[in-house]
Amino acid sequence: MRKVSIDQLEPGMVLERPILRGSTVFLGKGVVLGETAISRLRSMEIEHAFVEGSEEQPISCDEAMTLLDERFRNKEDDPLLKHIKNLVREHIAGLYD
Amino acid sequence: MTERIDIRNMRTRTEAINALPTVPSALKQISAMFEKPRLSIDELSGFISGDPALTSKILKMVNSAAYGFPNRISSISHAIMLLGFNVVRGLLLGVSVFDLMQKNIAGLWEHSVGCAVAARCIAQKKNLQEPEEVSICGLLHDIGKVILILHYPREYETVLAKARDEGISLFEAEQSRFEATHADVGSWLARKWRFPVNLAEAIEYHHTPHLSRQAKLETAIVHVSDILVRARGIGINGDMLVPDIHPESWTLLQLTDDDVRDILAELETAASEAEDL
Ligand SMILES: [Fe+2]
Ligand SMILES: [Fe+2]
Repeated sequence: MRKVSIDQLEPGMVLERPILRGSTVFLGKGVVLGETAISRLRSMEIEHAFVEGSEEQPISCDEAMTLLDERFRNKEDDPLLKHIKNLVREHIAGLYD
Repeated sequence: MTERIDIRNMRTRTEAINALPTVPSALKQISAMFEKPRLSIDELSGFISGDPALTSKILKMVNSAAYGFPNRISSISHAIMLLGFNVVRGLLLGVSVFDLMQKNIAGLWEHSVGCAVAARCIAQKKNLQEPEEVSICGLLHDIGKVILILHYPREYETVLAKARDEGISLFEAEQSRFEATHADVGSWLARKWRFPVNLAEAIEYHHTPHLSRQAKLETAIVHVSDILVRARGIGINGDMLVPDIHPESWTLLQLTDDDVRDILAELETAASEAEDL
């Protein structure tokens, strides 16, 4: 799932989550966006949509790993936290594949 | 050095939330409603449905990845039916403190939603009866931080600064300045607002899970969720360091590596949605 701002929508993108107007569904999950749908979305008061594809990461992989080390500083000798950290590291690396 | 703030004084003050000028009137109304000994489903759903902004925020929450229902929940009464009275009450409280969280502690809302998602995910893996109730424990576990900042703005600023400067957790920084922490404050209010005991305990002991008596499992879930969310770096919530983990909680939950991978994957989706509420 990828979050995109409404101005970045392009025809062919597929909605991962429905778009609501009030409490009713305006466009459902799985809808393939066309030109008409996109221009109608632009006239509505919404900012983002969730479409298929993987999320673009806001920071580089190296930066993400540095921040990870920061968050775990002083925790190097706890084997359990070390193990959790490794799982998180693998997970983050996977976001950049 | 300034003296520490006395616990009895704190409890009285915290519970007098409705008298505090900095508390938005919507939150005061909710607080007054929750204190009533018998709040009916109709009253609750009437209150929410009378406010379109509140209604749409709550429906957005329940239809988001945090809950992941296959079919859309289209009304508040439908939500109460599916999720239960206390879950909707908890959501109402959560979305009502949203602005306060955003304004006062950057990242606290994202942190809270992340914990709600992780908590629900763990509860489902453990086959708990009411994963949504556990999710509310995650959503509200740090609500005491907002309340403290409203009641003691100047003192809390120094606590936030202390945590930042000394690289200690907010929980520890609070202990040096106050006789009670955000965990205590949150649980006082949860009790005053007549939330179930497992919610109050999960809030009260989320940093000291070994002390929980009646809600060991829920408390362990919130404790571990808090750690995983910070480990992934979602939200900041006043301090970003990963806190100590209580091995007892970890052992109780018996999460496999694959379980942890699943939770992290769910957090990824939820994090981008949280900004959107
Ligand atoms: Fe906390
Ligand atoms: Fe927390």
